[in-house]
Amino acid sequence: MSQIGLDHPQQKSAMLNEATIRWSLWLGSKLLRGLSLLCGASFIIYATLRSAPGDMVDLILGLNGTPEMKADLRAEFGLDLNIIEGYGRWAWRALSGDLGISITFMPGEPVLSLAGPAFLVTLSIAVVSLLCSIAVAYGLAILLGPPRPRQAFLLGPIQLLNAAPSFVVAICLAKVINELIQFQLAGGGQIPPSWYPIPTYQKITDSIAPFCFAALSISLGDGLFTDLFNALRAELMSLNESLFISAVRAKGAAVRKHLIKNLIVPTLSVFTARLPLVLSAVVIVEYIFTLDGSGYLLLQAAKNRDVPVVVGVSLFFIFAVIVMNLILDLVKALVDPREVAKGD
Amino acid sequence: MTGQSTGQSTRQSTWYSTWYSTWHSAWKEQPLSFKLSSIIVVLVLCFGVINPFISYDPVLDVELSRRDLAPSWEYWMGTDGQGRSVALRLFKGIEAFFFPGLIAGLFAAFVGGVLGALCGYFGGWIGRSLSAVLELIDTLPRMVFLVLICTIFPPSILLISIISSVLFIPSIATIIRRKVEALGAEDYILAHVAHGFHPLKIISYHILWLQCRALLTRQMIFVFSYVLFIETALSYLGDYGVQEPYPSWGNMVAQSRISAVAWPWALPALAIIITIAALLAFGDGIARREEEVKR
Amino acid sequence: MNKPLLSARNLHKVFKSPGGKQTVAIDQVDLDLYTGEVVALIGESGSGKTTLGRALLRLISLDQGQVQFLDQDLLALKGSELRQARRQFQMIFQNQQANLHPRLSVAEMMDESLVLHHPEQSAAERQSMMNTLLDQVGLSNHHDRYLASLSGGEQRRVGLARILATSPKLVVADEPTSGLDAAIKLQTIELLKTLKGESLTYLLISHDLGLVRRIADRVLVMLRGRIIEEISIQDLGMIKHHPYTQKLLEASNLGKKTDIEHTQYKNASIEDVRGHSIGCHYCSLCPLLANTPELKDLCYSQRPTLTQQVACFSLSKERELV
Repeated sequence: MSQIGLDHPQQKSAMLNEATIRWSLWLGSKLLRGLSLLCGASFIIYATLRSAPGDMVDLILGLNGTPEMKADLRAEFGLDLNIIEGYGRWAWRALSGDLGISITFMPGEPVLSLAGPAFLVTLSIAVVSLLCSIAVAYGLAILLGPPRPRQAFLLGPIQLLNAAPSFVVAICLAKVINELIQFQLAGGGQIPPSWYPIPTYQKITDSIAPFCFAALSISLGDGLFTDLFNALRAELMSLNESLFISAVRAKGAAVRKHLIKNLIVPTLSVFTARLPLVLSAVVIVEYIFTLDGSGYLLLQAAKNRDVPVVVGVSLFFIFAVIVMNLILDLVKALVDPREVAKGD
Repeated sequence: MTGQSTGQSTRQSTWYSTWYSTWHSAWKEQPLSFKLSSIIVVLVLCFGVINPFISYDPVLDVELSRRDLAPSWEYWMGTDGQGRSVALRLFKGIEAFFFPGLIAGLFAAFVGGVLGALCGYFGGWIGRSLSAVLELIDTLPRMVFLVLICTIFPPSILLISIISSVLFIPSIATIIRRKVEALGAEDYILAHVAHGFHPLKIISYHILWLQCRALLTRQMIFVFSYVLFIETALSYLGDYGVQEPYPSWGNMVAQSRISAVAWPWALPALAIIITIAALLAFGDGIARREEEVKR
Repeated sequence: MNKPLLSARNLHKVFKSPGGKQTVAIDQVDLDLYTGEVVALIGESGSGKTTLGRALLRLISLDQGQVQFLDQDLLALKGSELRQARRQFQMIFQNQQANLHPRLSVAEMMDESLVLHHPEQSAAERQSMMNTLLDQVGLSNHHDRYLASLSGGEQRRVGLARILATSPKLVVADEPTSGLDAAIKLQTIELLKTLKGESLTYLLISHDLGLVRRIADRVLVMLRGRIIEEISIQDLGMIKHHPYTQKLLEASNLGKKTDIEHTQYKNASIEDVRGHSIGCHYCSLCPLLANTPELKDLCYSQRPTLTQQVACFSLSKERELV
């Protein structure tokens, strides 16, 4: 008896230890994967830069480049070194937060302070539109129940949205809302609203309305809502029909709690898979609604051939996608620890 | 006698007749949406092919006296702010994405299909490295990467479409690899090896052609519609795509966005949506049909 | 008899699963097939029959061993030589749909094989050959049919006609009647019998002892990668068999599936360093050991070799005395 009593806590601590090891191994492998993805993707970007035709420095600076500026730029992109060493230096500078200085678009401004705040706007549009779509998709799925032939009339238009690119949706939305508001202004006021498709640079605080419109067109365009709706409805239906839920129901327990717990993982998977596509879509939509985000920044910079800004924004996108994936993986693992047990 | 005659008929069943029979059975049994979409796809194909033979001078077409005319018999989609026929510009706008899209689609389907089949056939580390590359490319936001390309290289729609087709290759290869692995589980490959076929013939004919052509067609159409999307998007933004005065559906929308009348921008926008919808529905229909026949 | 058509020596194959676990699929197998005979390979599922059949035709690589087919060293053949040689040995797959296409008609599939194996023939010659082959398997009016419209038996016969198109010397038939109903099974057996003729050799892999009794000349019994008994068809059920064979026969007489619980004798004997059992696989279940307890150590620690056509220390001795 006493022996068992002695053994027990030891056993427990051993099990605890094992769990800790498993978790840290899992976390380590995920981090390693994220890091290698970051390296690979940034290398692709660097290699693209290096493969530019002609001398990149002349291309960027044009005729008005002073020799110091040229030397600076060369050092920044490691153009004097071979591709591997150059990448190493460039990546090291980028990691330590030095993404270079804007040259033509906003001369002298550090890229980091341009791209950072702008990217927050982009990310928030992407996340808000994804979350809203997921919420509405679930709502509609619960409202409609399992697919029935009669719903074809209702779902037909939703399916047609599958094909509408988000920027076309955004243009139509802008146009329609513009017509409505102009109508209300009476007198045929020729002053367009501030978010009308003529670029003006402005702060996010002035732009709640365009922010919402951008999120709405992202949700409707590119088949985002349609795909989410189809996937989540299928998920909901299969879960609803599964024996597991009937067992819970038979036990008289709260069905909703179990449903939600089991829907988190597939929902997060959908979120993860969709995020890069949505971020891409935000780029153009932001531009249409002249939101002060990184898409707008990217396109303006590209227009001015401001390579450091374009590269900086691209890196932000890649970094964000990888970090979001990591976070979502972690959340998934916390909800469903089987993920951790499975790996390695 | 009967053997002879049936033998004759089978000899005539070439690749186009098998494709035709697939399409025809799909036509008979698919819903209305498939019929509509295939009509639109055929129209786009025909227009795209005859496009280069019809000359159009966008500068000579400008006639300010007839600007913003409503649709009529003469200009049956109306005219835009510079008095140019919207219908004619819509038609000429197909040229901007048609051949680049076709080339990109064929390239992506061909390379992706061959890579996927090779990985599925040989398996092992080739397959693993392919999925690593796929994951890598999936972390690149496509749009941002394309803008980067446009900034560094002199932008042309052809370059953009080739790059976007390259971005699609890993996903196509993975789809094909999964398919081949599923076939391998059914002893499909082994049975053909045992029968004495050359591995190249097994990969190209028995796997890619006989088993994966619907999948590949669908992926090709998908890449084509992506090129259409990216071309119109970039032309809308104005700096990288087709430049005024040459027409593209994207820059038609951009040009007329502040026009007082609806048709100059609404019709190209509608054309973009309908064409992409038709392409996707058509690809889905063909693929679904092929799956149904198998059972 | 004279020189064997195919002779295999010391075949060995180990499958490694990703977890590092090793499974011995073929364990030092020797095998001779003579022209014109039908050899049946029986044993429960998982005993390595299919693996052996495939390895003999070079569809699976072997870890060691030699296979001699006629005068060729089969394992040394490469590329086009191997493909040329494949014409002479064909396989009927358990999953017959595997080598048929849902998109090709019967005639197209036949033509494909004929073009491959008789490239010198003209279209008309191929046509007539196709007609004879399809007549032979009883599908003369099925030229334009597709896979979906053929019954299971008909699909198998198309596969058979395709194989005959190569005029093979050896056919490995893996479960040729599985999944067929009784009437079609009989038809298929009759067909296999008629096609056999003088020169065709079959290696028949089957669960189905009824089929084996009907057409086989010789039966090999496999247990976990080893051939444990060789029986000529006249002796089947007439003499005292290896206890495992006995159990298989009993099970089939009772109309049961021939599967015996794997776990009953798994790792029964002493194991070597890699975890492969060295002794007789059946030692822990063997009823003969009750009569001959002095053999127990031997059975648990040494591999019985095939002497007097049986791999059992006790039985070999008994037969020697007779």
